[in-house]
Amino acid sequence: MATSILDLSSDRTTEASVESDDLRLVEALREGAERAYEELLTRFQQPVFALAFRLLNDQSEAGDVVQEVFLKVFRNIGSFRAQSTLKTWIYRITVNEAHNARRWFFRHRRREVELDTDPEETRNWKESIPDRSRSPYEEAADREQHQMIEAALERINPIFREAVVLRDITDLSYEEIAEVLGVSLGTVKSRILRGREALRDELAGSIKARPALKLVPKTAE
Amino acid sequence: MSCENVQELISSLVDQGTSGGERQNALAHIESCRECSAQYESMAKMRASLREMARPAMPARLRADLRAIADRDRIRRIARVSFGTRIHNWVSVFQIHCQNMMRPVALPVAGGIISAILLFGMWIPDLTATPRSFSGDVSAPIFTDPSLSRSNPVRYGGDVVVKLIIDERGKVADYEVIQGQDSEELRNFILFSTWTPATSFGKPTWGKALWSHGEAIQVKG
Ligand SMILES: [Zn+2]
Repeated sequence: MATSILDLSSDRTTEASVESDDLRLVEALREGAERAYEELLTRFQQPVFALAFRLLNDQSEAGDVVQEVFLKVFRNIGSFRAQSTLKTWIYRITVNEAHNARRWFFRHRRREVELDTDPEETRNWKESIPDRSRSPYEEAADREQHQMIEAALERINPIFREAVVLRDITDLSYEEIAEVLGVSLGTVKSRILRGREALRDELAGSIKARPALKLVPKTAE
Repeated sequence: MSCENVQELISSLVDQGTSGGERQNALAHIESCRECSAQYESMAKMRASLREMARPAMPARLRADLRAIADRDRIRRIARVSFGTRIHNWVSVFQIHCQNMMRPVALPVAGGIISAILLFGMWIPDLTATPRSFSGDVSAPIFTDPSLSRSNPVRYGGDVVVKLIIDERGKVADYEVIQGQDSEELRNFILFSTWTPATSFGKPTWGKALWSHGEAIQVKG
């Protein structure tokens, strides 16, 4: 990816400060400082949960993964070396744990879930910050759209989903995604592109399958 | 630029990942081509929707669980760090004793004999007087074990045997359930219980305690 020299240098200074922040936090964690534990949770529990949730599309499964991730993070903080940022290190652990959970999930529960997919159940998420400026109409449309995207995410190739979720949900740069997944920048680019195309096709399909996309809220708030 | 080329670029255009001439050319094409502009629009919209889904509400239960995981790890870490200081303490206690034993020897030889005579002269009546002046009171033992304080804010009645490490302030530094179930209630009790710390040569220090049914059943230094 081409970047101007100016951009690069500014990137580097922010990177350096992120690194020293990370090291300070890691050092405090190794000493068992209470505030360090708090800071780590405050910084990462929400994004780690969001990542796990979007990768697995199951709240309780995601909760288990998040717990496993923080157990590993705390236990292995001693072996954290500043070759990667704390952020990419933690997300790499999250992606790996989600992989493991998914393997288990597919082996044990996939069939049941497919047999009785309850449309109400796929609705078990709620955005935490409702936008007050939107009409209930728009909100219902949004909600419906989010559900469709959620379902589409579930159907696309998990390799592509991973890349798209790391980009759009976790908000990582291409370089950071490459680090988390341990693949080249070119691979990241193409996975995101393929993932988005697959998502778009899935969405187009689901819109066709439901021509009368209801914009009227089903239930009053 | 052909439509095919532009569509390959759309995903990274949406990410602001393309720069310079390539970006300009692609955007110019999109302006003039209905097909590509529709593709661009839909991808930008999809990305925006995904980003709206980036903060799913985290279950309160999960937050509490993470906090408990952090607490346990911190306690474990402090206990490990303190084990080092405890050994260090023992070493310094030992050194002090050696020094005390060496002190008379270290005095100048000439004065040594006189001081020895003087010391013995002072000690002999003192030694014989000791049992009388401290009658009824046993001199402080070298080591004492931690014991549970009477005033504990939390009660626990479960059927468990727990091994605890008590620090020099009488706080639980680590615990291990040897028999029975680890539970939220038990953890609460353990975290809030207060102990009289172990002592070594009269000074509070770290110690182990075995606890069951509301009382310390057996303790070992
Ligand atoms: Zn075109």
